[in-house]
Amino acid sequence: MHEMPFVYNFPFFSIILTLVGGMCLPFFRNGKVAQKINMGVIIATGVMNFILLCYLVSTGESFTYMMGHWPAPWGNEIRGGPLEALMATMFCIVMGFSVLGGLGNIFEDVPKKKQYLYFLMMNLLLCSMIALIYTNDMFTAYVFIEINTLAACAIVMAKEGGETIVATIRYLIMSLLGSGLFLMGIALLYNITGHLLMESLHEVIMEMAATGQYVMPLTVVFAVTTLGLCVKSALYPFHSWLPNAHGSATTSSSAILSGLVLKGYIILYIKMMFRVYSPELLAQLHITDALLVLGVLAMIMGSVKALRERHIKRMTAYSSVAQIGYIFMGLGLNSEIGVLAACFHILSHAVTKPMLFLAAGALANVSHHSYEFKDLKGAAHKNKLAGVAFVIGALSMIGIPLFAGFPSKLYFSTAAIQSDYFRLPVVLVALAVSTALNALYYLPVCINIWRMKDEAHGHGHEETGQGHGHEDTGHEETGVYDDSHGHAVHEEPVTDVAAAAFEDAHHEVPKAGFSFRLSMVAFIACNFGLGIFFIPIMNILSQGIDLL
Amino acid sequence: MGFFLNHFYEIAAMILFGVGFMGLLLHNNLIKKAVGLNIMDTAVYLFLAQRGFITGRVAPIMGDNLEASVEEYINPIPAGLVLTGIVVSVSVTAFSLALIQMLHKKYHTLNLDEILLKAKQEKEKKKALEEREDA
Repeated sequence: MHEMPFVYNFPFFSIILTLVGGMCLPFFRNGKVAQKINMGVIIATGVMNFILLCYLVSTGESFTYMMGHWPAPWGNEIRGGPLEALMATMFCIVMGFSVLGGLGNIFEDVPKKKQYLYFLMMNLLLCSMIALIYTNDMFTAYVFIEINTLAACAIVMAKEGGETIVATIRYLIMSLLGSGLFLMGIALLYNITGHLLMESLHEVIMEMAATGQYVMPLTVVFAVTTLGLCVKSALYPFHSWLPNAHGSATTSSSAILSGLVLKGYIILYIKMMFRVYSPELLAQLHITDALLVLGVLAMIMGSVKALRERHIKRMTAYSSVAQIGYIFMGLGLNSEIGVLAACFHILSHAVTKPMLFLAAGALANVSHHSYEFKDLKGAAHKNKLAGVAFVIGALSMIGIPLFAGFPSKLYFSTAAIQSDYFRLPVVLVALAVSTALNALYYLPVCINIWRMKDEAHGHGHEETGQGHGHEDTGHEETGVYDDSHGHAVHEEPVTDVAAAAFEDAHHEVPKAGFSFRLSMVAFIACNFGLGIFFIPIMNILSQGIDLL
Repeated sequence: MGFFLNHFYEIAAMILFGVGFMGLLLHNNLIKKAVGLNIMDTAVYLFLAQRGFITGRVAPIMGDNLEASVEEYINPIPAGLVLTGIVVSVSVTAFSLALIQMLHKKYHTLNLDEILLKAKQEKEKKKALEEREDA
């Protein structure tokens, strides 16, 4: 440790920077300043993690970083490798663009006095997720899980109203049950092994497994921690809180909750699988079988539930339940390629789902803020970029080649073919059914949003709205706010209050249209990037998994 | 019988954990849920604190006796974990109580089922109103 490269400090710097960046926001008490600081912090963190990623990939090593220079059994540690650095970089990118894309909605939905607090919560959320990714200590993981829970609940309830508070309390209760189970698991684990650091735990657990001691307590511990993290990442039977929380929050919140918050726990779980337990031991104790069964159930049931939804955001939220199922199914395949596919799916879902939510939010903005399918008919003509982004996201979720969803499905099937006779048919059938269901619920929406409104259903002033949309495309694509603003002016039936609200939104965030376009283009680019150049990403991921 | 007496604290902790967990999961009253949460967390702290305690030893604080050996002290790590855990559960409890207060102000009840029902009715009413406006 004498000549530790400077980049090894970066995980710690990212955690502390996001934390301090969040803590200084209350001094400004201004939403716009807070937003700029938040964005600066996200960019700085992303750049640091990217540099770390480049360094680790080029040297092909991983490291542990002692906090306060206390050596292993006593001190707290951070552990970084290519997998962690890649995930952290991706999280920063997705977080930044999700905030940018929903900026207009944030300034509209969150009361003005509380806007800076919203960005504070964003900072805390990023901090806790980065800490969950990098931590090497179980109890630190628990503390950051709780921070993550509170910040996530806070961004759900940021959009005030009865619906969001009810969604938040349900989310909070389920989350607390999950973290309670996780805490109990850690307490038992500490009791059995006397350690909290992942390496030391691993050593002791392997020793116990070899000698056949404490099999029962270890099974209980594994089951309890797994269950806790499953509840928190909304695996199928424990998903009841998700659709409401993700469906009713403001657009950016939904995007981040679905795209990132659920994944933070899964990454922690993957780290625990390899660094605390071992995949073989988990397979031996049938934990992976349970994950596989629940994952397959989630893939099918999530899609079936999504099929029944008529609310675009809730449908997308149920689709997340299905995608989480894919990830857990990959972890349950008992093979390294399954974990690889799961890791890739974390990335591809992280770039696709926020895009879908942001596009859905933007489409709703041009349809009188309604998320119902019938009101969204033809909405894509008023905001073309959002329409295109939604279609791309949908195709990616279905798993069409060239989009990010395809490589993960490819690797899932490869992993299934290489697995045992029980898993092979189950997984392949589940993949096929789930893909078909995905297509069944996404494609009608895509067609619906691009359909021309027919006269009979129209409100009589459709011509104005659409004419306006077309006319504006002349001088570049219209942003959400320009559009809705124009709408308010053109349409007589809209009440004055609504018009004033649109006006306000327009004045407060003059660049909302630009930031939305930027984020959409970035997400589309990321989607194609992951979908086409997946081989190098897979190489980095497999390098990272090998080093775990 | 000896087993139960020797492991009195662990058994109590596990029972309390179950009580708290089920309270948080199943109770309809939100305040009782918050109480359940605290019972659950406290059970874990009881468990940790008990496991860290060794009969006949003292807290590892260095007093006048500078030559004290490790053998005289209890394990301080569980105590540290409990302290951290208490901080976490205090903040979580504060947050959930604030939420419950907001819900009570809005719906004038603490029963989660009633709140869900009222929220649903409110939503339907809003939708009906919007539809009427549209028409």
